[in-house]
Amino acid sequence: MSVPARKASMPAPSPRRAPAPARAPARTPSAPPVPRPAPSRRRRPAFHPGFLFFSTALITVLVTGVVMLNVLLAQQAFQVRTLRGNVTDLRAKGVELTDRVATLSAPGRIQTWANAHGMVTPPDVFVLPVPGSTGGGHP
Amino acid sequence: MRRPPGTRLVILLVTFVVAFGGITVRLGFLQLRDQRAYAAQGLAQRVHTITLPAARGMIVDRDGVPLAITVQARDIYADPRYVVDPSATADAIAPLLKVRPRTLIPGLTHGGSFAYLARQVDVGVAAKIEALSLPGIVATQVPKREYPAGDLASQTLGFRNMDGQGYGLEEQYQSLLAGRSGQERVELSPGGQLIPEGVQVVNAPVAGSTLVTTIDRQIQFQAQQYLQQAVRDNHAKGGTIIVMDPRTGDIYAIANYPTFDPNAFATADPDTFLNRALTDMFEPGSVNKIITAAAGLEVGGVSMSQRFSVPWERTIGTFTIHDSHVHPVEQMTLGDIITESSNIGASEVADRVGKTGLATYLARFGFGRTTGLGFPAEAAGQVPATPDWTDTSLSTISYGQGISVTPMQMASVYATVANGGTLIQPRLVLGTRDPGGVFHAAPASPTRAVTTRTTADELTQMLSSVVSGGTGMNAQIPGYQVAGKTGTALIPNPAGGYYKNAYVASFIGFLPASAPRVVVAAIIDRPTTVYGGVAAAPLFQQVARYAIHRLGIAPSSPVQLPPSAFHP
Repeated sequence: MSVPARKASMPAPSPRRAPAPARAPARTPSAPPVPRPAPSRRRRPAFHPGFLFFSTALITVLVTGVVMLNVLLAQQAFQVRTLRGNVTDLRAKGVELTDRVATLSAPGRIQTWANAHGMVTPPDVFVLPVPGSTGGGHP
Repeated sequence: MRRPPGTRLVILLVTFVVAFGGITVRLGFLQLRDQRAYAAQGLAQRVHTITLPAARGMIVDRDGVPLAITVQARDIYADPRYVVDPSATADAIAPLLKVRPRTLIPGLTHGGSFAYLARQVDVGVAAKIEALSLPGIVATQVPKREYPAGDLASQTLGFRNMDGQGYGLEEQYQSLLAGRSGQERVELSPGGQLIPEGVQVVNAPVAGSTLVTTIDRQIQFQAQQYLQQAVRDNHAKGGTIIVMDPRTGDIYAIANYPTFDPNAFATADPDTFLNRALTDMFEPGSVNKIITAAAGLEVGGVSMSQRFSVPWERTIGTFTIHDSHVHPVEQMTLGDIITESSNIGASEVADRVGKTGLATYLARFGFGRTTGLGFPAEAAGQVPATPDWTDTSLSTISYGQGISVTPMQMASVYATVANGGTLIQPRLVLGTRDPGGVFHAAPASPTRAVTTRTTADELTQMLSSVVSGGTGMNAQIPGYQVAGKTGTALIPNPAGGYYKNAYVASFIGFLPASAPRVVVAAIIDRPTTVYGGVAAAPLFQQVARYAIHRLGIAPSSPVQLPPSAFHP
């Protein structure tokens, strides 16, 4: 509120509008130098240091957070891909093992192995009818 | 004269305005007008679509043991542009691929950029080749169909070759086994690395379902073993065995000989690919007499105690038919006719039945149409239409000559008798197991009444008599009452008439006679031993014995034997 009053009473030259030193004396050679008025009040800084600190910290935290989130997402994407690959590999391994079990338990392979080790097929299976039972049948 | 600074500034300003104006206009074109096209172009360069093949479903036996399974394999190919030393490369790879080095040289030296060196190689072998780090040699991942038990049930399982031509269940259930392939869209850098947060769309493949068959791996194996031995012992051309459950229609085994290993179908004889139990027809011979007997009992007015006067031969028009051996005119009951397998007796029964009656019963037992299995290339058999029957057709068809059936159709006839006169459609598939592991049972096989239970019981009595004291005594199994029938059929010559001294010997039966659990059809093509009772009945006996053991079949009370004129 005091600024307009000062402008009205004393139009002090602004530092930005200071005339070039070479020309000023030519126009008003006898004019006495106008004393710079002392500021009536101390000028407030553009930003409060606390605000600056807080803003910087906030921006740093935000940028770091975004970067970290990005890195995290990237890492997870790689991990997911790796895990998918592992699942696929394990599935393939499971199928391979199932195939191996089926191959090893195949009757033909067992017979060949058994014959090679001197085993023979068992004699005929005999059915012993229980006396008094309805079974037995005809020969 | 110096130009005033203001003018220069204006020129500079105009220059900059023009330049920036041009850039702005260009930017406008790029960012507004062409934006979508360039964005799409850029994306297309980065985004790659990868096809994700669906895992083919397994084919398993009734206990869940894999009979066909898809595993990972590798194709080995060469890019000859990068092969430094073809000779050394061939020498290094050949021992691993078990081929001669010179067979690889053409692929390593031809002018192109791609040549297969080996396909569907085991992963372990491919890893050894990759470890050699040979320039220009690449291994790619491919699926490979494996049949862990080799030639076990190979003609039933079938296979599909790389041209998509298929056989057996692999072909019949192709759409179910194949599943549906998926796609993955990923964004890759120019170096091929995945861009982690780029486009990544996965349309997952749907794996094929597992086909659960009715096949019993152990019975199938033993049937194949016994059949192979029987064909060799009888110096035969081939043979077929069918083992099935008459109560459900489940087929435990279908064995054909010669056979092949589907793991190496490329080098096998294509003649062995067909499942002859379903695709080949034969004239059934005397095993067909059971249908004549059924028709005689149901529509011919024939009773079990009725006696027929049976000579050893009979002339119909200009054609003479006869029994297998000379005998005086004998009094025979229907049971005797079946027990002794008399052709003349069967023709006399057929006379009572008539053309229409016999044709009706042939059709009711399923002749002239496929069994309903839906098996690829399954034959329907050939039964001439009644108006086309000649004077002798009624007689010859009564003992199984002049019509053609598949072994499966004939086995189904005996399964029908064993099941009390109700035909149950044979089946090879118990159900499917989806990729989530949930089992979906196949619907129960359709049934239809063919004969009355009384007729079926009387037929069973006659068939029991065949084994206990007739032509099928070699099928006897101590402790069990077996019911069955022998058949010895002439083989038709495509040029007309029949081959001389070439027969199909068969024995089809079931056990225990009073509570049948298993039907076995044993058929041998052109045995030197000729007769079904000699060549096929022992084979039936071997397979049936094993089935008893495998299925845990207990003996049951015997059925009464039919009235006989020989043993009043």
